[in-house]
Amino acid sequence: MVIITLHAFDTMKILIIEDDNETRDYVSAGLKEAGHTIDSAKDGYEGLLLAKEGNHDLLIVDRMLPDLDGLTLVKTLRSAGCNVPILFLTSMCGIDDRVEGLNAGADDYLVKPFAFSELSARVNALLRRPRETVDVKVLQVSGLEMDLLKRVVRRNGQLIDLQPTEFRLLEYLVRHAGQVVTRTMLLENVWDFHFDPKTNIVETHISRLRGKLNAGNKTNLIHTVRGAGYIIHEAA
Amino acid sequence: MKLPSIAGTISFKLSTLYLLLFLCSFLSIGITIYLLTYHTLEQQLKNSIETEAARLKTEYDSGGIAELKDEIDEVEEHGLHALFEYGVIDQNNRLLAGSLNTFQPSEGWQTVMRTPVADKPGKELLYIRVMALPNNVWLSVAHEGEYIQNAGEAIIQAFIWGFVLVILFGAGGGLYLSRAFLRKIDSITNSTHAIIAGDLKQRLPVSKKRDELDNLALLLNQMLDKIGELIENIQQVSNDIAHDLRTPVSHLKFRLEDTLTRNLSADQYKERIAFAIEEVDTILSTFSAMLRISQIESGTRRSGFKTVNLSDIVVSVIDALQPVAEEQGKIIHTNIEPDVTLTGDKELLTQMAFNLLDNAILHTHKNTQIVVSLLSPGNQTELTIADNGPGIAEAYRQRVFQRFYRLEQSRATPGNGLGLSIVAAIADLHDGTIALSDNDPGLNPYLTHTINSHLKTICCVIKNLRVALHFEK
Repeated sequence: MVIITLHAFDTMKILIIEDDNETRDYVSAGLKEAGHTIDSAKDGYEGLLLAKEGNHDLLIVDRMLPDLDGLTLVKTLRSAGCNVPILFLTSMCGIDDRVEGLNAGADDYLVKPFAFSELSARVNALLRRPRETVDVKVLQVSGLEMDLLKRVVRRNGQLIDLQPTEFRLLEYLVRHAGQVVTRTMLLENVWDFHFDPKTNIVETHISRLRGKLNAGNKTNLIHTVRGAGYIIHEAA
Repeated sequence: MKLPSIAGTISFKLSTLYLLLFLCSFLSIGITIYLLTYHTLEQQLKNSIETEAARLKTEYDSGGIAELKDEIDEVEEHGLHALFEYGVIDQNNRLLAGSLNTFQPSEGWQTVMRTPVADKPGKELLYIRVMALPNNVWLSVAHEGEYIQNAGEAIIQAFIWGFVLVILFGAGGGLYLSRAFLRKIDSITNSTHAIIAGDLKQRLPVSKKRDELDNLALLLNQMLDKIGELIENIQQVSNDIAHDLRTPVSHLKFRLEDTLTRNLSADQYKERIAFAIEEVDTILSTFSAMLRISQIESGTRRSGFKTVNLSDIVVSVIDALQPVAEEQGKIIHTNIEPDVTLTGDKELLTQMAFNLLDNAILHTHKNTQIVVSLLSPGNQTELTIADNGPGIAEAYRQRVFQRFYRLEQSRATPGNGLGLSIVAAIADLHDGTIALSDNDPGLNPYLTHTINSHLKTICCVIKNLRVALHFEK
C-alpha cells in the first residue's frame, strides 16, 4: 500500500459513518496516519448527530447503514443547510447508487472495494476543493500556463499544441496540482467514463501529453505515483 | 391445498344465478299467458252471451213476453242454442219463461257457482247476463264458463312441468359445467404442485377449446418459460463463477502458500504481496463486471432512459481509444453521422461502444484497418465496427457473447471474457440486435478517401469481421 504524504495539508477533521468495523478501521487508520483527526459512527442516527454537532471538514458516508440509510442521511444534512463535502461509499452491485448519491447531495462517490490510495486521493481532492468556485481564466503551475479561454498552453513561454482531450486532461491535473489524481478520477472527470475499461487509455493519453510537454524541457511535469496515480507538483 | 367443493365453484354459482333468473322470466311469461288466455276466453264468452241477450230483447220489444217465451221455449225445445240457459222473471221473482232462476234482478254480469247436474259433469261456473226489460221484467242469458277455468289450469300445469324440467336441466347443466371446470382447475393444480416440487419443465395443460382458462394457462406457461430462462441464466452464472473464478483464486492460493514457505527478503515479500493484490483486483473486477451484467439484464436501468446523442458518445470513445490504436499500429477510420440520437442510458451506451472498439483493437494484428460508422437510415440506427483482422469463424460467432467465453486465438491477450457479454446485455436492454458477419474477403481491401461517402463502400472495403448493432427508434 502506498501512503501518500500530505505535507501540503493542515490537519483536517473527518467523520466516517460506516457500519462495517473492518472498513471503518481500515479507513480511519489510514487517514489518521495521514495526519487527520477522525470521528466515527456505526449507524445513521449516530452519524447524523455527530455531523450536526461537530465541525467536520469532510464526511465519508456509506450507502447501506442500519437505522438511517446513507442516502437519507445525506439528504437530511443537505436540507438542514450543511455544506460539508461528502464522499459517498457504494457497494459494487449498485450501479444506480452513484447517480442516487450524487443527486442526494454527495460531492463524490467511491465503489467498494476500493484501494486506500483511491480513497485518499478523493479525500484530498474534496478537502482542497474551493467552497465557492471562482472564475479562473488562466492556470499557472511550475512554469506551465494554461489560458482556459483561448485554449492555449505554454511551458516556459513555449507554445504547446494540444488536442481537446489532452487539454482537458492537463487542465484537470493542473487544477489538482499538488494532489495525487487517480486513473479512475481521470476517467470519470475527463472522459465521463463510469466503468472500468480494461485497456490503459489513461496511461496512453498521459504518456502522449507528457511527450508534448517535455519536448525541449529537461524536467518532467507529470509524475507517476506508483500504485496510485499522477501528480503535478506545485513547486518546480 | 384443498379444492373447493362444487357448490363453492364460480361456475356453479354462475349457473345457479342464471337458473334463478331464467325461472323468474319463465314465471312472468307463464303469468302473462295465463292472464291473457283467461281474459280473452272470458271476453269471447261474454260477447256471445251479450249477442244472444240482445237478440231476445228485440223479440220482447216486438212481441212482448209471449213472443219472448215462445222463442225461449223453441230454442230450449229444439236444442238449437242448448249451450245457453235462459230465465225470465217478473218483479215478484216469478219465473215467466226458461228455467234459470238463480240470479239477482240487477242489470249486469253475474257469476254463479252451481252444483253439478248429473248429465253435465263439471258444469259448475255459470256466467249470467241479466238485462232489465220494460215492465219490470228481467231477462237472463247464461253460459257455463268452466272451460275457461280448465284452460287456465291447463296452462298453469304446463308451466309447473316446464318449471320442474328447467330446474332439472339447469341444475344438471350447472353441475356438469362445474365438474368440467373443477377438472381443469384440478389438472392445473396438479401441474403447479409438480412445478413447486421442482419439475420446472412441467407446463400447465392447455385444451384445444381455447377458453378463458386455456388463455390464462398459456399466459402462465409463458411466464414459466421466462422464469425457466432466468433460472437457467442464474445457474449458468453460478457455473461460470465456479469454473472461471476458482482458477484464478486457486492460483493465488498456490502463490501465497509458496511465498509462506520461502525465506525471502522484505522487498521480495513486498513484491509478492503487490502481485497478489493485483491478482485480487483482477478477480474483483471480474466480479463487478458480472454484477454489472446481471444489473443490466434485470432491466431496471430502463426507467432512467433519456434521449442521448449517440454520435457524441461514439466520437468520445474513438477519441479515447485513438492513441491506443496508434500505439499498436492500427488505424481507425470513422464515418459518424452527426447528432444521431437514441433513447437510452448514456453510461451504458458509452461502455458498449468502448468495449466494441477496444475489442477490435485488442484482437487484431498490426496494420489492421478499423472502421467505425454510425448511420441512421430511416428509423434505424446502425453502429458498425468493421476491421480487416483475422475475423471469427462462423461456428464461434454467437459464443463470443457468452460469459467468460474466449476464443482460442485470444487466450494470450488480457481480458476476462466478459466484454462482449456486457455489449450483448446493453444492446438487449436497448432492444438492439447484434450481427457478426464477414466483411466480404473477396473484395480488394483497398481504402480510399471516399471512405466517408457511404457505408456500403466501407463494408466492402474492410473485410473479415463486422459487428453491426441495430436499434429501432
